[in-house]
Amino acid sequence: MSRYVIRSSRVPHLLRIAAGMSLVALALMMWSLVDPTPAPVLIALSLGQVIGTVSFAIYLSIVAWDLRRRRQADATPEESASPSDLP
Amino acid sequence: MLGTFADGRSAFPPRTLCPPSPPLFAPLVLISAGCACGAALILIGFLVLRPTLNATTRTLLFFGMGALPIGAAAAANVQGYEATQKREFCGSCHVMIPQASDSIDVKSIGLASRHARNPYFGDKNCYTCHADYGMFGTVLTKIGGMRHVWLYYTEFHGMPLAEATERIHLRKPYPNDNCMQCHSTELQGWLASADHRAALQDVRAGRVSCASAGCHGVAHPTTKPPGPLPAQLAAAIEAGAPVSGWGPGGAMAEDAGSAEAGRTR
Repeated sequence: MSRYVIRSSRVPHLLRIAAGMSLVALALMMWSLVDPTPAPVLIALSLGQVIGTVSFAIYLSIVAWDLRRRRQADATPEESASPSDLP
Repeated sequence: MLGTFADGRSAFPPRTLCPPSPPLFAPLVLISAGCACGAALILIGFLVLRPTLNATTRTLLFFGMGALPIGAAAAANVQGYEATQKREFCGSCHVMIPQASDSIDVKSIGLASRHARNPYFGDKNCYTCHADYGMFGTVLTKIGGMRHVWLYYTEFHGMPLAEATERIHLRKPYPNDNCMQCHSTELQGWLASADHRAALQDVRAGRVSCASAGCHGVAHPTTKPPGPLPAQLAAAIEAGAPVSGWGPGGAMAEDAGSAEAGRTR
């Protein structure tokens, strides 16, 4: 149970990091559209893609973790974290 | 003299290429911008308001971090890919200004310029000729382009144009396959030329370059032979001495053409 509580406390922080990374990736993409010269285009197509993909991967991993936690909670309700533990 | 045609005209026209103007109202740009704005609104709202992570918030985050950014990236990627094919993109690096400017010079008799005047090439005349042919041609071309960008930002970015023009040279012979995308050696029109018929096997095998001095001439007024710089030229550049004689009008042009033809596979 304590394991879930610790992880749950990290979720909002991780999501905020992912949201910030998404914003950076979006900004790079918009830069490449406004200024289609080699540096912006290549940075957007490489670094921007990586940042955006990592951001989405963080979100998906949190969703996967949440689904797994809920499944385990359904299986063993007496040992799982209560809803109040979640952010 | 480097950078001049045989008739003495400079390869550096007084005009310079403007940076590529973004087509702000192109459909892909609008789609990308719309998706990005929507995602940004969701993400900024999440960061500022810090809502509880209920089902609604998670659904919104799916759009803010997943669906909308993917849409924005897809549209931006296609738009970026289109942008990399345009002449203005190539000419946005200052070391390519002579080549790009020459290709749009209506008075130029260079091979590249004559092709650029063909409406089928449009504003993608650099890419049309320099894109590798074949199934993986686009990928190989883009990999080569990455190398160009790396070299530009690590070596040539702060270099004066005149010095860069002397240093830049063909890395490998220009492949005849690229010419034969359009100028098929199977067509009667191509075979009508006695010179073509005589060199048919050599051209197909790449032993004679279409863009050599003895055939159609070099493509750009600044074209130099492929491969590493000759020791004499490299030493002169290293010593900061003026380098002349390279190019289609120079004394070394014949050697360049011969070397180019000889090195062509």
